[in-house]
Amino acid sequence: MAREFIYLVPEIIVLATALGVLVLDLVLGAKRKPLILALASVAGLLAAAGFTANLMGQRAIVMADMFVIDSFGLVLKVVILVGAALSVLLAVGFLERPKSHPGEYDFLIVASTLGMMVMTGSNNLLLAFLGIQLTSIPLYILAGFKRNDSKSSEAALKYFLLGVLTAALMLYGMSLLYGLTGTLNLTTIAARLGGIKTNDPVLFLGMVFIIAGFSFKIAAVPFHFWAPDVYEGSPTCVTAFISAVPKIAGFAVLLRLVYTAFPALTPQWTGLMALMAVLTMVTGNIMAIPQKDIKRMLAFSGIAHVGYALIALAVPGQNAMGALVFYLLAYSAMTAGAFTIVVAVGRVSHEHQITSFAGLGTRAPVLAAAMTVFLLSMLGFPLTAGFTGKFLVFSAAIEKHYVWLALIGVINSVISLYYYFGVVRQMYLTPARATTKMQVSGLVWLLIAIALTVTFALGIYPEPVINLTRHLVVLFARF
Amino acid sequence: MATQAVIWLIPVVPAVAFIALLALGRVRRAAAPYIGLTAAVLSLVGAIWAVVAVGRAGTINFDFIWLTVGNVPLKIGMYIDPLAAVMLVVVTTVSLLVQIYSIGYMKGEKRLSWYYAAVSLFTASMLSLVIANNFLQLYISWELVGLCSYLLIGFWYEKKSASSAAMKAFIITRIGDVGFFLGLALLFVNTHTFDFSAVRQIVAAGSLGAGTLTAIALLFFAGAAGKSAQFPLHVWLPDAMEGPTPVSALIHAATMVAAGVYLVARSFFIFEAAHPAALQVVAGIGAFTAILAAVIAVTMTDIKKVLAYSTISQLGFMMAALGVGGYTAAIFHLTTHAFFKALLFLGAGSVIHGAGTQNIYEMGGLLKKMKVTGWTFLIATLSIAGIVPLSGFWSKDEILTEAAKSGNYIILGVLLVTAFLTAFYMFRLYFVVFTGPVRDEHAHESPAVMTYPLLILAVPAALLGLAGSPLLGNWFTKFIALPGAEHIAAAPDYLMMGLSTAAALAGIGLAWVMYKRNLSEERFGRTLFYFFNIAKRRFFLDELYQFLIVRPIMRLAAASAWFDIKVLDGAVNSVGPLAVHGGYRAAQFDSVVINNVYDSGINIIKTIGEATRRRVNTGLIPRYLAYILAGFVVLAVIVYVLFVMVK
Amino acid sequence: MVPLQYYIIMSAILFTIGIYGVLARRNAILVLLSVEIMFNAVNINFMAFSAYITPATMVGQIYTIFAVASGAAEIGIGLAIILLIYRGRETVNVDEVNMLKW
Repeated sequence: MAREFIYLVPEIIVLATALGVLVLDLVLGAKRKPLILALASVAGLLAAAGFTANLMGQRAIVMADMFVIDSFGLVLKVVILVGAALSVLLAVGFLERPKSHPGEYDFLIVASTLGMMVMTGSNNLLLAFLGIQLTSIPLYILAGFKRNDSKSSEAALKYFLLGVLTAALMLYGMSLLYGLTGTLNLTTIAARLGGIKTNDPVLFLGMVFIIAGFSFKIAAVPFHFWAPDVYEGSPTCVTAFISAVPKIAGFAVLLRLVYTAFPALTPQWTGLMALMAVLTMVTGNIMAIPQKDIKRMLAFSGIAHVGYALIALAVPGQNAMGALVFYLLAYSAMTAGAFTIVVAVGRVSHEHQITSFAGLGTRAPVLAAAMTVFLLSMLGFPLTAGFTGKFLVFSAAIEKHYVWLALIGVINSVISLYYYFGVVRQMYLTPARATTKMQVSGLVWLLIAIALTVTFALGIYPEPVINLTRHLVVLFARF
Repeated sequence: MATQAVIWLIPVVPAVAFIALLALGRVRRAAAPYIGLTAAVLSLVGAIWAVVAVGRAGTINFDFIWLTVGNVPLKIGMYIDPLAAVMLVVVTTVSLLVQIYSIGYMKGEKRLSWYYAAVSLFTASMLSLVIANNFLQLYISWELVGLCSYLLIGFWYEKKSASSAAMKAFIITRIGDVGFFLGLALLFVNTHTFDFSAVRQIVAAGSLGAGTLTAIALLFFAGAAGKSAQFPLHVWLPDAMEGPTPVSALIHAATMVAAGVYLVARSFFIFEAAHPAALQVVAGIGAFTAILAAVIAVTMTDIKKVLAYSTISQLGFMMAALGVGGYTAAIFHLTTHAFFKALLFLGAGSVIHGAGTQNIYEMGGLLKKMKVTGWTFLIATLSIAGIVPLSGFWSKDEILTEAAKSGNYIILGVLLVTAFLTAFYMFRLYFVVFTGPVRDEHAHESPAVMTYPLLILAVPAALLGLAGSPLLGNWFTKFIALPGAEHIAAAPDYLMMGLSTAAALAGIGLAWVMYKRNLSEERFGRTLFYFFNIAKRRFFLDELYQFLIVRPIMRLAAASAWFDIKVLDGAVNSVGPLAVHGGYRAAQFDSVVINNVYDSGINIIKTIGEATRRRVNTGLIPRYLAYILAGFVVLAVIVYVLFVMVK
Repeated sequence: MVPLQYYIIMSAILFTIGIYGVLARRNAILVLLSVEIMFNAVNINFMAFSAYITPATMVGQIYTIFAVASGAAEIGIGLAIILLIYRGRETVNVDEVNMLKW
């Protein structure tokens, strides 16, 4: 029993960090409180990341078979933790917080992160549900963090109501599945499904309900409606967090669910994923084109990226799983980088129109160059993370004879050029409205440098990560 | 070993120059050209070294492992065979001359260091494309040159048309790249390597199905068609003329646009192993592009657009040559074309610089004002028209010979007509611009820094062809030939030489008659009237025109002082105006239909997006809830029907 | 003993009523309540399955307790958000909450 807790050390650290931040928030004096609390949270998150990395290579199922420790989950947890730490840093100096309790933001981020870690490791539907709730509830609050801004409240309400509805659908599906198999454990479900006809409509309905619930978290079409509105309304730091980190956990739990519990239903869920992938790519790209607000544009672009990643889920197999993990890493790096720049530019222009990037190439050349790199990466330009990711995903699809799916994906990535280069065009090929140079804080440079490093590293020298992702898929519980 | 180091440096030096220019450019703008120039000179020296080394020791191929995916090593490497060596020299020479020329042409430009930085980055990427030893490296460089092209077309972004043209060029070439990318993935999935020589072995071993190979070949060709502006992806190139003229010379005439031809040449062994239809598609598209663009070029009044369509047409020539199996002919023409077309563009830039306009009808008599530009332009014009013994003659003749040898007489016929049209539109351009009365007294010759590159380029534009001519024993052809084909000496085909010369002379003659009438226009009109004696058919032709020619075009024609009733009346009626009018119709087709397909494609997507977001993303929570539920039900039903009930 | 089917049918009916409420109601609080009805339908399912299928392990009952707890947290947050909306625009009609759109 005591041994099992070793595997849970990262989660415990994160929990302690969350509670510690709350307590510190009450105890400390007001002076420099935001910075101290942020640093404390970052320290906790990074410590947890360190412990997680330390567990790498181990395999175990703990807590009455509910919680899986495997390299697949561990890698994604490290990414989630680092992403959360960066989000906490991003908020320092950029977020208007209530004077009395500035630590609420950090607490909510850390709490949500704990939820994501639970999601990523769960081998049980109950735990997955609790993980989702623990992730979502802080996010609802974060979306409405600017209390005096009605747009922010509206974002929170939309996120909340749509989230609760899909949670209800998911729960209903779980109850059906429970009724059929008598268990909530993913591994046991797979075993018991052997005795059930795979064309049982109730089983199918249960599976689709659950997948729908998880698809909400990753904003796959048709469960994506919250994304653009929430991205636009939330404070941009929160948007950066929502757009990158929870999606990783969402994909992790989705992948665990279908691979662990439903191997018997592979044709059905691959079909569903393929259909959602196409819808998601097409919708995301088409809707991104007419957008004028950069946060909405990035929301739809993010939806499109989820579509590309779903291709990897629609194609069963090890290469596809590795490609999915790689794509998630690439996606979170470039999205986080792009949003950091949106935050920095929004700080000066006080708006988020794409036109506010006009002339950035002369006003802040390095910032503009970095933004160009992130946009090129999203586009799938060679030597960036996005290219490697797309190449892995599409070749995995072609390998399994899903050429049509790859074709749709590549065509979509051409369409995406139109709106990504809309921004590049603003930055380089449009005269600036203001000629003053833009001042950017050192913290922002740090975050951008990290995102740039990852984006380039995954593009220029992806070997370690590709091999890691392939390797860890072998260590995935079922293989 | 030393050779390897030198070859590495060829692309690395301009890349370093790019970084240096970005870093230092702000501080020392005046030094910018010299940083770029130094790099270009070093690259040129390296390229010459490489050619000599290849000539001595044969193909150089070396690489190192960049990364290992699974157990598949991906490499970065250098593959210098004669093809790559020739391309290296072409790219470095043209790049160097263009950079020298730009000192004069871009004088006083605010963003001069950015200009040189982008040109250096382009040179580095293009060189890396040429020496790549695997398809992945080639693809990476391929995208990079596209990006540089985007940046340089939009260099004068204060002009809205420039930034739209940049966007359009990038999008349209990316459409072709869809094919290239998928072909790459298909190749990799089937062979687990990108390496040229490894793929060649696998293809030679016959372990790949003809269907797969054909698919790969056609997908690659889609990419090549985008880059090399082949129908229907050619529409970006004329718009790309919004960029500075030296850039047009470098990127959109001599080097980048030839990358498509290079790709097909590089993967020629795939095309050969594929179903014959693959090469037939290449030949067909190439020939069609050649004639279509030539016809359109006849009507253009912007000097750069004439040259742009001419480039498209000549690239079509090369593609057609590849399609009929004329590998060496295509590369030969690519090489000669790079020089004479670069010369034409730089000459055009000099003309624009001196005359201050791009409209050829606002120029005239410039030969008197601009001696060097005029005479070098004439050399290039004669060369592209295919006059013995200039470069263009030999390479074009070789293509025609190959077409004849392949027995594909439709392609041959089309190419002959294109050769005729080429001579016609080029001399139309020459006569209008350089002869006749002086229209602008202020026109002046460009500074020496611009005219010297013209003089230097005139040498290969005139003489390079001799290297591949039977006079020198087809040295070039043998050098470039695919392994095993070196000894198939092309016997000089005098019939073809005669035909192509006849076509060229006919074109020049027609242009002379139609556009140089200021000498004795009436007499020529009358002479030709009797000569062809088709007056009886005049009524029929008039009616046909009425029927065929759209009014606005008619008005345009009437507005032009050159479009004199006498000519319409005259015997030239049968050919000249037909070509011109055909050109207008083709231009109309080009701008209305093809461009509209592109524009409306984007517009349709935009409209759909706009409509959906107004109707669906209404911002109303109840709607969203309903859409989610409805979407869920629809999804579930579709998947249920497809995957549960059907089984 | 009441047969299992009765519970399932009742739960299905409740679930449908909840969906109807979600779609038909315009007051944000009532929408939230309708979702809660859906949650309760799920809870009934779980309890019934637990009693009839796996009486020994009580998985369903445990699940329900967790679901109720997290549901309570959710309601708390939900009401707070609705209150925030009300403070901002003096209405909780979801039809009037559409500043973010397109």
